[in-house]
Amino acid sequence: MKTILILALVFMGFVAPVSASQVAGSVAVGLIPIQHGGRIKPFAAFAHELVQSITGKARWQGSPAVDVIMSRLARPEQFLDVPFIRIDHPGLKEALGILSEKKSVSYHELQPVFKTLESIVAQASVKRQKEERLSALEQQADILYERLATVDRLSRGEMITVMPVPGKTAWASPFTSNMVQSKYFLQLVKNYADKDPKIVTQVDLWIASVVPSLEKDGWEKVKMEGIYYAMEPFYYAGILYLIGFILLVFSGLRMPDAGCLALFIGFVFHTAGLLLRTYILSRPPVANMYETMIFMDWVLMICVGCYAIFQKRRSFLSSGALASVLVMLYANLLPVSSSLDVLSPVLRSSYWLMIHVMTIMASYSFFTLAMAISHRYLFLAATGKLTADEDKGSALAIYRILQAGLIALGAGTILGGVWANETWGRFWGWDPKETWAFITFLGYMAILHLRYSRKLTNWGLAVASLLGFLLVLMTWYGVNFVLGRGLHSYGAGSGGLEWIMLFLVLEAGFLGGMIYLRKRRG
Amino acid sequence: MKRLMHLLGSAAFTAVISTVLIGFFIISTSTEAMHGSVLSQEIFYNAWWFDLLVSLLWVNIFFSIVVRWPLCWRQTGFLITHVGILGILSGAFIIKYFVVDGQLMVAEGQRVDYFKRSGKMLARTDKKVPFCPLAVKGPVKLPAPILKVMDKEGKELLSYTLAVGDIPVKINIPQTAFEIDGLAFYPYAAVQGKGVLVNDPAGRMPNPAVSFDLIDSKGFAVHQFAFAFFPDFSAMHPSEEKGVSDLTFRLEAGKPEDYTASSAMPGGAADLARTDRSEELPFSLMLKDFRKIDYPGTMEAAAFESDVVLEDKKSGVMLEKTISMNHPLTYQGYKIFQMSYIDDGVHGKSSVFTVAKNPGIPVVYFSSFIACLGALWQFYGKRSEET
Repeated sequence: MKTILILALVFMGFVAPVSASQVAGSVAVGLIPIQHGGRIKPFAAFAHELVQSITGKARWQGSPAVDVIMSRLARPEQFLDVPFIRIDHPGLKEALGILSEKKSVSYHELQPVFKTLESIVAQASVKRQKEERLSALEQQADILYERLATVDRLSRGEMITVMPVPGKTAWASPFTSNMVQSKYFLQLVKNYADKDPKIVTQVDLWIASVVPSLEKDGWEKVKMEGIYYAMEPFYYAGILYLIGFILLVFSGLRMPDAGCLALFIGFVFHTAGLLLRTYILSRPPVANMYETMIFMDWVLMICVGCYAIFQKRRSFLSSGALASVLVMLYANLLPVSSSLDVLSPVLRSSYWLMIHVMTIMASYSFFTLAMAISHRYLFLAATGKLTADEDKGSALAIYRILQAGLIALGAGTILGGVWANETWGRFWGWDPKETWAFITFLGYMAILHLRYSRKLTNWGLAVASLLGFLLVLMTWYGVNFVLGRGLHSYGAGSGGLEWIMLFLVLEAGFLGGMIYLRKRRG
Repeated sequence: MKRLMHLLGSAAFTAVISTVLIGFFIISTSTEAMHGSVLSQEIFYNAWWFDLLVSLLWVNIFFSIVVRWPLCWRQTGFLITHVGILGILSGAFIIKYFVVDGQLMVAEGQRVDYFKRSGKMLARTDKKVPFCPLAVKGPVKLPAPILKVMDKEGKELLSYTLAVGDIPVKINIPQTAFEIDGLAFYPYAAVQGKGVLVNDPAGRMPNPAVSFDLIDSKGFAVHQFAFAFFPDFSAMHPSEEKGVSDLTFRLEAGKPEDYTASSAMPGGAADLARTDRSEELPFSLMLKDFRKIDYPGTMEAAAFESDVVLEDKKSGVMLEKTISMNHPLTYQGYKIFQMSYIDDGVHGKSSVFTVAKNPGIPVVYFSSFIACLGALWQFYGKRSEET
């Protein structure tokens, strides 16, 4: 198992292409169990989350996360001098007197302006208490403050909770504990920094001493999480979907089988990623924005697969693949955490919640697929390449998929009410998420009624499907990231609006272009 | 009549209502984003005209069925779906007007038999000293008090000279959502029996009092009274002589949840605040133990649990149960949910529960099931309708 893991880690580019012993050392250290964020995880996952939260990226200056953390742990106070704290907002940089061209700074560089930063954070805190909206600068100041706090804790070594303490649930850090194991781990850290070739053996011994303290399948989960981070399943799924799309569309359909194969392998990665997350967290992966995007994408690919297999419509595969690639891309562009986080009490042990979210996400998959097929339809119709069969088949597919989406959205929204009633005793409270789900429902209901009463042509249906998707976008992203209100706060966040605006602009451009082309053709 | 029914059941009417509703929701959610949920609930979702809009949608769906009557077999899916939606909307109204919900906070070892309703009412707050005594030497001359209501800036909204005894008029406080009812003036106020205020000049030093009910827009009333002197009874404080002056009642404008009022008296004021309504429960709840279970190595809660004892003296029922997130206690139609907790380190741990009795839920659940079933039938039962 371990050999497979090491091979996976090496071949998937998890570690930098350096010497074999260094790679092996890094891989071995990556598997050390550590208690972080309320659960036991591999050191690689801990390092990945930490480096991601501080630098905004999974690597820093080309070094893998494990190396970024581990190579400096021998003298943890040096983290205060590492210029890896990301700062993006120009206004915040100006307020703190940081040069606009600087993308990241060190803790010590920021120390002289702590008071200024603290006053902005305090102001944001007051606003939050008053339920007022925070400005972008205040939001970014909050994030920066959190990054500083993380670096501060890291520099004291107290986050490195790798030692189980007999009789206690909380693990201890060798930097703050007098336990006998502390010395051994600190030596291990030193040997890593010195690139000692015996590091793998030392780590093996360390892991062997810790594993008995883990829960029944704890070690299995740690290893699986190591594989998950090494595999980067969703990254490769996205790449393969893109390859599949290119092969299906730009090779003049001479390589459709190769395109399908790429999509299939991508889907295997996608499924594996979801299964790994489910196994590691012991829950369906639908509890935060990132997970819902990935899950939605997965259902979408099942839908296009079903269309290709049962309806013999391979033509939708390319539309579905492109939509999936874009969703994967947006899952990385938007400021959403891909970490494997534990849940708040209200989200735990509620099957209604899981059914509710999964049904809603299924509805979003349908609407996304309908939107993707509509793009294809509009393009073919505007450029005069639409055959009669394509015309009828695509319109019928859009209509049917929207119907499925509407039923799923209606059922999912009601299931959300059931969950709320079972959890809080309140079925409906006009929370913004609920309200926008209702707006989306009304919007798609109007589209289907117009189509049913023959007031929408095939072209009109495709345009309406595009416009309807904007409601989905608002309900899904807008409520949490733009309105930033309501009870669905576990999906809350801020930022990324520029990417959504880009999508809207491109969408408007596409629609305008297609209408123009259609008119020109008469 | 037939034309009106066709109009009410038409797709065009659906389009108009849907558009208005969508516009309404966009404004309400934007307002909520800017000013918080309390305000948007108050001015949008609790407004009568919102109910009217939803009622119009109900009427529209209802007549869309009526004008197609008698329906053929092919339209069964349509009928089931739309009857289901009518049921959901009806259930929503039942929930809105008949739901009993609120919060119950109980400390470890304590027993509570009431909860705070979600609605607000006006009530005296005890946080500030209500009245301050003001001693005036010499004989007391009693002028007729004037009831005054001022806005936040001190501008007079209402001035009403009080006559002795009950004043059988309702007085609207201009520019506010409040009115005064049951106004009474007692130049020689005395309390008899169980706190009944009467006019009793015999053998007492005059201590004028005014009593009234302050009623807010929801009809929630709070009985308010104010004595000119405090302590108010000469029998208790025979040696004290006190002065009198106008009774002034001040109501501050602001956000709905911020309404406060004070009844200014010589030397002091009684504060009124819009506060939670309390309601008795047909049982009592005792908190034996509260536990917050953290994720290992963090202060982050993984679960809240409360061991409670429910006692219904009338029926002699005593239940012991652990309430946790997603695992409520159900008794006599009431559901008690674990919400949060308070642990201030001084007063010990208290558990916060939501109490709800919701008669509309079965209607909504059943109707939702019907509507989904109908939609499936309608969409996939007959393929000829597809284009």
